[in-house]
Amino acid sequence: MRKGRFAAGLLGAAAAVVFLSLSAHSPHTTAQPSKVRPGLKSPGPGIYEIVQEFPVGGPMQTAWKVRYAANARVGLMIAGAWFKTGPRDGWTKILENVRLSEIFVPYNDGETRLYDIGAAGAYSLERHTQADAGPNGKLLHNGQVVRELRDDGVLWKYYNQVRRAQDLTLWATLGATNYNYITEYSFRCDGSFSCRLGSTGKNLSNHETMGHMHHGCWRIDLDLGDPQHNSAYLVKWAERKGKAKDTVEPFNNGVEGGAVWNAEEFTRVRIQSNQKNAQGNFTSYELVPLRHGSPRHRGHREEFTHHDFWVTPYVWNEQYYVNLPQYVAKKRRITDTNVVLWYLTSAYHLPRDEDGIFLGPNGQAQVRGVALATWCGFEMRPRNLFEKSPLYP
Amino acid sequence: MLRTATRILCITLCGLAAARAGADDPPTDPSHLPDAERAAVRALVEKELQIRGLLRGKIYLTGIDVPPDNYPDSPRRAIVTHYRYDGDLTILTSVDLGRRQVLGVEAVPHMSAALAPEEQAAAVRLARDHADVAAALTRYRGLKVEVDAALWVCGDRDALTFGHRLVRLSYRQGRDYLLYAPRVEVDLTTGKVRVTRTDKAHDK
Repeated sequence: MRKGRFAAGLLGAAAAVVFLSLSAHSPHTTAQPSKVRPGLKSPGPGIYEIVQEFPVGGPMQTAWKVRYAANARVGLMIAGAWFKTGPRDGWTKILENVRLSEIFVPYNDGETRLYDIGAAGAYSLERHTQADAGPNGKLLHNGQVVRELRDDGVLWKYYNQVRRAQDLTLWATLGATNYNYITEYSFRCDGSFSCRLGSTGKNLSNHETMGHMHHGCWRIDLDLGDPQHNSAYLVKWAERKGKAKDTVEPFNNGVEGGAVWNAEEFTRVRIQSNQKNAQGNFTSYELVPLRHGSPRHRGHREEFTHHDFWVTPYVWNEQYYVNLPQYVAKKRRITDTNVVLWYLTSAYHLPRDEDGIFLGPNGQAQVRGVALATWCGFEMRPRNLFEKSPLYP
Repeated sequence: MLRTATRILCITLCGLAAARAGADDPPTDPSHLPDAERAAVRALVEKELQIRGLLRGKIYLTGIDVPPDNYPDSPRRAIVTHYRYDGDLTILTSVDLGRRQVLGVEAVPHMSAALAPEEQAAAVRLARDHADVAAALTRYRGLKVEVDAALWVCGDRDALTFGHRLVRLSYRQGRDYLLYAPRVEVDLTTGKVRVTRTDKAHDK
């Protein structure tokens, strides 16, 4: 009898350990990133999956399922993302893959050109601590990936009604000699997501005071519903003689190529599916630029900077941003097919005293501080994914 | 009963440990190939480059990329990158890893390709053997000085170094770059080392 009680106690302890272990994680998140779930194609080793339901801590209303991977050349990349618009809805595929294809760093002297991904040397995927992750962050994979659940401010408000946004953010840091690059992906409760590159670290030795750019060159492989039936459009706004008009036209006349962002036109790129929402409207995502400016570089093989947006058909081994001018020379169709969107996000860094630069009496520069993070990126916003306002009563 | 309960507890704890192990381990690089597979792929690709007349002179394997995908029918594939000095050529070879078959070869002049470990080592060695570098680093003798090697690309078609494999070396102690270290540029294409005096090394 005593043995029986002891055994029952042991089982109880085991159950408690299981319960405590699971409840140590957010209640609406899969306990830990796992290898892919049964029933989905296994995309190979090194792909991890997180399911995040919103609102955090309440009954599920929307959810993201995100696959990710990381290495010391690219940093963190997203290897698939699906979204649920409601608790009874199925998963809608949104993303096949998004990653930094290149980080191009040209200096103002015209001769210093760094390709921090294409020409990466012995870079490292940095290990973070809880100080990196912050109060709402968790360390994954030996601290090399950080998962945060963030409050993202007001999602909507109407007098006495309000809804705050939440997002799942995954980020990692690429140690690129004197610089640290933070690659960050945020998946918001309303189906939008954003991708950002943060550049921070020590100014380049011997170039401490020289202005330079950090260009995040993104490859964004959206797969909306059936990926074989996606199309790319350029969306513009213009006002003439007091009347404004929106224009939605096939990107580059329906043929692969590039387009320029025009601040006065609110230029954006729309990737549209052949699937419709319950209102009968085609579902799409729009790339909403978050830009500091638009650089154009004139060095040899720098033509990839001459456009801000590029669209190509999906080809598995077309992965390199710098080769875009060669890819688009094939003039392939980008309507009703599987398309890839490429986008250049740029941050200009003109060094300042806040970078920790000191000039000695001999005029020599020294760096005994750190350049604060400069961010660049973009948002992908759904259009007609929901048939009503998301997360509205 | 006691034995059963103990077993259940052990299994539970082991299971939890295993589940946590996936999350606590460093992420597996999706582009990582086991040594044997990497060697086989390299041999396959270099044989193809030989047949196509591309494998000549100084040439290095600089990377293998295995882009992940979720498409149910797609095979496991890789892009194998070589850099060839002759012609400043980056060679991208597409490979079906499952069928061990070359799918295509693309040679791109003046495309930046990562430094191979052998090239990094060569750049560091050339600099170390240069009298001016050795002299400039004398004041740091006895300290653990590390060096970063970064590939620099010359974007000016008219420059003498255009199309060359240029490496700049930065010397540091821990994560701080040495104040009086020389500016060292190694041209791996010509084997020349250019050293800027320490009092002229910085840009002000």
